Order: sequence, then structure tokens, then C-alpha cells
Amino acid sequence: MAAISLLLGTALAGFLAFLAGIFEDSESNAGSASNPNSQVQLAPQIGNRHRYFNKAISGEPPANALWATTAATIAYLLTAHFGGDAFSVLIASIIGAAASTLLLCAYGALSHISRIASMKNFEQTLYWDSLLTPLPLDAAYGFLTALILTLLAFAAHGLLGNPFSVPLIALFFGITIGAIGSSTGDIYYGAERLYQHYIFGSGIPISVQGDIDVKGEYGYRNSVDTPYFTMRFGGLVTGLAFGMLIFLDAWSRLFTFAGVWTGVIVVSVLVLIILIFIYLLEVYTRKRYGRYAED
Amino acid sequence: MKEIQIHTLFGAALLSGIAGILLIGHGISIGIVFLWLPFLSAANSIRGMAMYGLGTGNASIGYWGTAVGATSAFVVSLSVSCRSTPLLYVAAVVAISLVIGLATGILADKVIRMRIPRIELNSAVIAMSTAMITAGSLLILGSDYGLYPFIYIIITLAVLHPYNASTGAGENQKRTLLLALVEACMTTLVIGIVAMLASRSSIPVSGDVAIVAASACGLVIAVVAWYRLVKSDIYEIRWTGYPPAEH
Repeated sequence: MAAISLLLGTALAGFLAFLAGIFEDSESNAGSASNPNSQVQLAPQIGNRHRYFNKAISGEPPANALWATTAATIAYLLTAHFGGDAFSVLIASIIGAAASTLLLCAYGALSHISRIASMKNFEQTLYWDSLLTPLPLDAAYGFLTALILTLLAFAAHGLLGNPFSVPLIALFFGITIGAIGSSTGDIYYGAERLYQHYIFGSGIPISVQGDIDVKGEYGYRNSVDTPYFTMRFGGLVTGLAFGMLIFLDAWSRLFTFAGVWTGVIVVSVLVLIILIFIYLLEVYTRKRYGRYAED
Repeated sequence: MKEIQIHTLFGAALLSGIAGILLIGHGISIGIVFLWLPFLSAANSIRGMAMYGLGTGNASIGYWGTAVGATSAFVVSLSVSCRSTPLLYVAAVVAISLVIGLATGILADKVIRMRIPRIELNSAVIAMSTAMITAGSLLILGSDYGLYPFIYIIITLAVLHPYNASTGAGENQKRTLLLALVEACMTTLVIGIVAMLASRSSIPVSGDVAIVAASACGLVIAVVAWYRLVKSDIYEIRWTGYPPAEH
């Protein structure tokens, strides 16, 4: 029975983490958080006045940690009060995630308005519709991220036997998913989509920072189109990275051949395999596409 | 416009924070409103450090300062009880956070060489302010360890966000501090709601209801005051439209 619960927990945790990654990246892109945030912030200073939603809450890790921890804390207190079967956990997580979404909306709106108020010298106008149209979309992705991270924390605590409390696991998950979202997923939006008029993959030299694309297929670009675009690649890659992290980490609980050291051994072997795979991939890519170009 | 000095704001925050903790310790939960000033003082010091071109380091300063403050308060709460020795409790919270805050500030200046003016002072102020807020929140929420991560992260965001949100050429201290007040009220509102759930009684405890009511009133007043400043500072506000074409 314990083995079935562990297997089920591993599969469920991996699947939930994959979904959470997709939603987290879409949430950050709908609000231009993290890396794109600085690019959108700089744009009016060099004459690119825009209609993006720019949600400067903090780096993605602390922000996601707050949404996940608030949702998980409320769910944890509700289940402690009303009982903790699977159905109560689901309902409690939904209530917790809804509460943390309200917080996200408040922080998001306050930051967007504040940043534009500090842009007076560069004649950036505050358009209410460019805040109020993407905000519900952003909140929806934020809700799904917080909900899934809370469920994941409950799965890790219950099915996988993690000794920490549910809110603490949610805090770790929030920080981790934020870090992955801002390092893996954001590149696609911050360095590619915002700079589509530069050669693909050329990065962002200091001299072109802030020279972002402000116009779309027709009219001005808005922050509702951004997740529609990034969902095809950035979101999935974030989901893959976070999903693999949680799924492979859960394997360390499946075996018991070396006592308490089992987890360390299993994870070390997995890290070694991943490193070898990455090395071989790099060698293959360089052989096929040539060396890195000199500046 | 003349800015409020770090010392003045922190002096007021220290007195107000101590009064708040003692009131909450004596069962008067509404004393949480006295913790709003420490929020302002911490946000002001984060502004003082992040103004020197830290950019994305803003969040890290908030993380770091609150980590020092919250850890000090958690450690004190494990060994000293506010119910039996309230003055010792407050003194220990302030003293330990002062020492660790100063030590991390000096290390950042001398060892890591971050070259930020007054980093030791600001680091100590952030640590002491957030330690007082954490100590007050702990007294309200009780000693369930499961709630520690929530207390830490919600205070972190409330103190690092005001300056991060207002960054730009037109930033000024008054608007940043008013935004800090908005977020302080928002944070105590959420803490009040969580306290209602944490009390585990079927009807909400009157003290927790008072926190929520006072925070909601404060929030409305602070948002109105902040928005008035935004309207005077901003270039233009419109419902919709296109930016003037440049290229």
C-alpha cells in the first residue's frame, strides 16, 4: 500500500509540477514580470511609449513564494479545522488560491500605476484598459499556479511523506518555480519577443536595451497576446524543467537500498546522467552548427 | 521637497513598534496598527539602499533584511515568553535584530564591498523594523510553526515592494512611503484574516475582527491619499488610446 501511494504520489507530483510551470510562465509574461520588466520599464526613456501591463512586484521567486505560501497557509488552516480528506484539500486549496489571487491583483495594479507615475519625464500615459484587460488573465494564471502548487505541497507532504509543513513546502516550490520561470521561460519573451526586430538569438546588448517592439500584427501590442505566444514554447519549457525537477526528486523516495543515504545516492546519479546528456548534446550541436561566433 | 531622515522615521517606528508589541502582548490586538510605522521605516531604508543603482537587487535587499529580522524574532519567541516577561521579550527582539542587522551590514560593506553609503545603518533599521513586525504578528497568530513561512514572505513583499513599484526618474519619498502604508494595511488585513482561521473557533474572535476592520479602514484612507499623489505626479491618465507615433 505504501509503495502504491509513493508511485501514485510521484506520478501526480510530476504531472502537477508540469502544469504549474506552464501557468507560472504565462502568469509572469502576462504581467511582464522579471527580466522583461526592466526592458518595458526602459522603453519610454528612449521614446518607445507602450501599452504593456508592467507588473513590477519583485523578482519572480519572492512573488510566487508569496502566492503559493498564502494559498497553502489558508488551505492548511482550513483542513486543520474541517478535516483533511482529498475532497476537503481540493476545496480548501481553491479557497486559499482565490485569496492569494486577490493579493496578486492588488500588488499588480499598485505596481503598474506606481511605475507609470514615476515616468512623467518620458511622457508615458497610464491607459486604464491596458491595465484592466490583462489583469484578469494574469490573475487567472496566478490562481492556477497557486492552486496547483498548493495541491503539490499537499501531495509532497501526504503521499510522498515530506517531513516539512505544507506552507513551508509551498514556499520552497514558489521560490523554485519562480527561479525556473525567470531563467528558462522568460528568455523567450524578454529577449526574443520584445526584440523581434533584431536577429534571432542575438541577445540584448546594453546599447539596444529598451528598444522593444511596441507594435503588433495590427495596432499596438498588448499583454493579452503575450502568453498566447509564449505558451507555445516558453511555458512548456518551464513546465518541463519544473516537472522534471519534482518528478526526478520524487524518485529518491521510491527506493530504500541504502537507508537514509538512498536519496543522496539516487539524486547524485540522476544529476550525473543529466550532466553527461547535456555535454553530449553540446558536442553534437557544435559539430553540426559550428563554433560560437566571435563578436 | 525635504525628505524625512532615516533616524527620525526609525525613532518613531521604534517607539510605535514597541508600543504595538506590548499592546498585543496584553491581549489588545488592535495594537497591530502601531506596527504600520515599522513597515514605513523598513521600506524607507530599502529605498535608501536600492537608490544606489541596485536595480534588480531591490528584492534581494528586502529578502535579506527581512530574513535577519524575522529570524531574530522567531529565535526570541522560542526562548522568551511575551505573556510573562513582555519588556524582556521586546528588548530581546530589538537587541538581537540590531546586532545581527549591523553585523550583516558591516560584512556586506567590508567583506563583499558593496559600496553602498550607510549600508550598516540601513541594514540594522530594516532588520529591527521587520523583527518588530514579525514579533507582533507571531503574538497574533500564535506559535504554530506552520505559519512561519507565511509571516516571513508576506512581510518581505510588503517592505521590498513600495520602492520597487515606484522606481523611475519621477520617484519621490512621499509617494513611496504612502504606498508602503497602503501595503502595510493590506498585510495586516491578510494577517487578521489568517488569524481568524488560526484561532480555530467557530465564530471569529473579536480581536481578529478588530484587526481586519482597522486595517480595512486604514487601507481605504491610504489608497485614496496615494492615488491623489499619483494623479499629481503622473504625465497623463486615459481610459484608452494610442501613444503618439514616433517611428
